[in-house]
Amino acid sequence: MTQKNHRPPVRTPAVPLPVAFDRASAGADGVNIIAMTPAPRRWLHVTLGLPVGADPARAALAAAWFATRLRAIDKRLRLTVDRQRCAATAGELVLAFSPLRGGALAAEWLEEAKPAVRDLAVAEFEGAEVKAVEVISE
Amino acid sequence: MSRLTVQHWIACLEARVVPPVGVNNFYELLGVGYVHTFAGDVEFPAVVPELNMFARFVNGKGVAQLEIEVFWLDAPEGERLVNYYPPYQITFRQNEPLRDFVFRLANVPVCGTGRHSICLYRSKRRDRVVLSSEYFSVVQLP
Repeated sequence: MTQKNHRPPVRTPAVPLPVAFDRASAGADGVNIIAMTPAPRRWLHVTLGLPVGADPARAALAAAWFATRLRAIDKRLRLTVDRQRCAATAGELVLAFSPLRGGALAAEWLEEAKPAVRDLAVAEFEGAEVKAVEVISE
Repeated sequence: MSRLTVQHWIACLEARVVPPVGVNNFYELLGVGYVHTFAGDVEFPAVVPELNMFARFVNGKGVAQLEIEVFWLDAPEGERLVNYYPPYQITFRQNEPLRDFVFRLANVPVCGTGRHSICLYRSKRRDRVVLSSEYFSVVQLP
């Protein structure tokens, strides 16, 4: 037995595997890659009619307190104010809340929460008319 | 009893299947990265035109309903849901508990800079379980 036989084999660079496909594998992708379609998002809109000559400072305080207490109505939804969708025009205030969860279950919870939200709005905004509490889907 | 788990949940800009295709395929994942850079003149909300999510499921059995949600973690109000993908059903064959899937999300909205997360859930009748989360960050060039 010679020392020569104990030498490790000379390392050769690995041969890359043959790539037996065309780069444009769109057909295969279509079958094996799942295209997900987003579901429409939902918001809870509370529309309030403010009386003529209502104090804006009081309305702002009521809105802040309303938004804070709203979270406690349904903690699963984690409703937060959506600034882009809120609006204030002459005599009307629209507060928009977005849930931190999507899907059919969240939609169901939003519908369940509507009566409690209406009651809370009536309690917080004294003298104001609660015109609508609705779930908007887009 | 073993539960369905996710071993890999990776976001990439492009994913391709390597033919010949079969039950278990090889996938090419291109553009895997954490930071997505937008030009300085881009106005938010913007979109990531395509985001592919590679998932390797372990201990799969029967059928599973999956949901995906995209959150903006650094929103002014804290955390904001920006997109929701409704339940999609996947099936595991018998004696094949490990399977790869790629989910293609088109036009993922980006409302601003900062961290985002893509959460994968397993939906159940009245509840859901987080299987995995992937993160990416959006930066805007000056």
